[in-house]
Amino acid sequence: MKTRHISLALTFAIGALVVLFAATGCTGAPSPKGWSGPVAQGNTIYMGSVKGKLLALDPNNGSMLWQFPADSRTVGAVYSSPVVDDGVVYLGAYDGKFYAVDVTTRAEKWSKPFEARGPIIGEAVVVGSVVLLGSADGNLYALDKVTGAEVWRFKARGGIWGGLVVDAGKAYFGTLGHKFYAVDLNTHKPAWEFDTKAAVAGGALVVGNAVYFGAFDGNLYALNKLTGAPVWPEPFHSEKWFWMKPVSDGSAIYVGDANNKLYALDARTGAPRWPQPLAASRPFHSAPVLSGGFLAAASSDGVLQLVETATGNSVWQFSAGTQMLASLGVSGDTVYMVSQDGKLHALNVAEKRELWSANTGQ
Amino acid sequence: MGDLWNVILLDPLLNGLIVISRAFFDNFGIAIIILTVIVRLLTLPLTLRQLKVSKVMAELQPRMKELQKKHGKEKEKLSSETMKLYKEYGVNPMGCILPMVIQFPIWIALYQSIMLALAATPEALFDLSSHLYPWSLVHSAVPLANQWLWLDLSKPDPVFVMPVLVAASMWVQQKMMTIPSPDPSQSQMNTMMQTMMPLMFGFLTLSFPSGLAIYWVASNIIGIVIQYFVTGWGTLKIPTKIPTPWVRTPQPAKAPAAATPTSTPAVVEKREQDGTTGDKRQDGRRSNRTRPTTTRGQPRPDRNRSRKQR
Repeated sequence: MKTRHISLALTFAIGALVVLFAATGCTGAPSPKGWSGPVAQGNTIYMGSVKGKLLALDPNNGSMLWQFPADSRTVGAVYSSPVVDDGVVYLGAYDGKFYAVDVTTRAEKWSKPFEARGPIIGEAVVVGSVVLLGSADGNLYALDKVTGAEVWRFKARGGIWGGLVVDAGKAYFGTLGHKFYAVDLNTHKPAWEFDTKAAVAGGALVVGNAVYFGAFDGNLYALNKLTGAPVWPEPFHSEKWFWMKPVSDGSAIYVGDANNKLYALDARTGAPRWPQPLAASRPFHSAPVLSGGFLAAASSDGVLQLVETATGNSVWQFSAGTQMLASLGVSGDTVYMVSQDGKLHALNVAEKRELWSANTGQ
Repeated sequence: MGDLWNVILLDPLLNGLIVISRAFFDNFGIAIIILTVIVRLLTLPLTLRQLKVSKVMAELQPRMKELQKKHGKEKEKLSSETMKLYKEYGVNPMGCILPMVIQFPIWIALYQSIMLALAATPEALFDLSSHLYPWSLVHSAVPLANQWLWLDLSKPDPVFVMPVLVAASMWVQQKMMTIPSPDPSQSQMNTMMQTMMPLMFGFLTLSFPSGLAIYWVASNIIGIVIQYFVTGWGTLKIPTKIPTPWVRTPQPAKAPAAATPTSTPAVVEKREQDGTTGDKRQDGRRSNRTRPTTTRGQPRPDRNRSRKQR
């Protein structure tokens, strides 16, 4: 009887373990899902879907115009927003492949996709005849935009997760190796580099003579884009990290953190512009957009707030009802947001209403 | 409830794990092992209590069998006699389940903290942010370096060493834990459990991040060590040259024990009247109470031989 008692205890242990594994979602290695944001270009919205497709959608109703690959294949998880240049859509995938898709033929422009050694998470940028992309393998790759062949590469310390920004012949990006680089596109070497106290996972923003970026040390840095010298007396500090790429209207920098707050900072001094930061119930991750004198910012719980840039007052809220991590897209008065369940919402910020929504996750 | 879980268990373990990793030169593999050791040491009193109660229960098996034979048809009588026996030996029948139940949340939180800290995907790294303390030491450490030995700790072991280690260490621990049962059906069930559990965990390790496999192996090895010092090798067959600290060799009883008359050899010494199941003596030394009382006072051949040698 007692042996049975002990066996019952063991059975209970196994049962509880199985139940708790299931209840806590601990059912194996997590798989990447992606958070590619929508990009409105001309009469089309481009985005990577949660099903691993490059989608071209109608901006009037969100219906699908075409998809790549057209057949049942996928490109895997996509975190970067597509980049459109000269009739070609460029898209990086988490498996390290980088695609160039011709919008006319809807087929691959290159004979085969370029393959980086690590995942591609941040946005690429087209500069002249090359496409620049960063990879989590720590390389900044420059590809011939016609053939996809590698032209040159720069090895950084730590993986490159954020999107690239190019200004005046320099590519600016941060790495997980506590570094921020300004790489000269002519010499393919750093014009300067800056040590942060933690990883830099988000993209940078260039405004005037300064480059702005946030880091996991909770600092938002403002550096001189030519020399890398700090512009502000001290970096703006938050309790938790910055992952979001900041946006600017020229005089203020808008950035949200993992402490559920969004700040408006004076671009020259770093001083807060609003009496108090905009509060949300979950961390900010998606890059916000400016439209019609408003700042549209979404927290990761899928709640978008429309904020007066001058005062920081929230004038309208829209909830997607589920998690949202992808960058927002904008075209005129329309803001596009895609939630993690693949639902794309078109919101008119002037009329403060949802225009339509479309399920891109099917 | 979720917030309470995070505040009390998950977040302290997670941040502790990251701090340890930072202290050990960003070596996350070592950090997992160290945190597992710390947690197992903190829960050691509970583990010991559980093992000791299990041990006493095992020792009471012959008495229980006797009672079953005697009162098998009278359920109420059997129940009251069983309870009397428990009381006599200071055993709480819930004594081996309760410590296990208390430890479960801690193990699950440790498991979750390792999974979170591994941040195997960008989404997982994002989720991590809401669990981190606002300490610069913690923030500067993430994302953690996932490379350790031949392993990418956020991915399954490509050469399948970890699944084998998990299964083997779990099998040894299971084998040591299992209490031999005179009931053939129970014995069959035990054998099945001994085989199925290691196989199941070995199979899970094929798809789980190898960082978690390190936790399982470390935890199993610590469990084996604790088990060894409390109950010996159990049903695990070990070459005789390796000493077992605690386990008796079954011997036929020459005379019934005074306090609890029985003809079976596995009778245990009566527990102290205060109801504790510990093995404390006034002189602070361990008592060899698992040896049948009837053998006490008899000369031990090996001891005599060593004296002569001196």
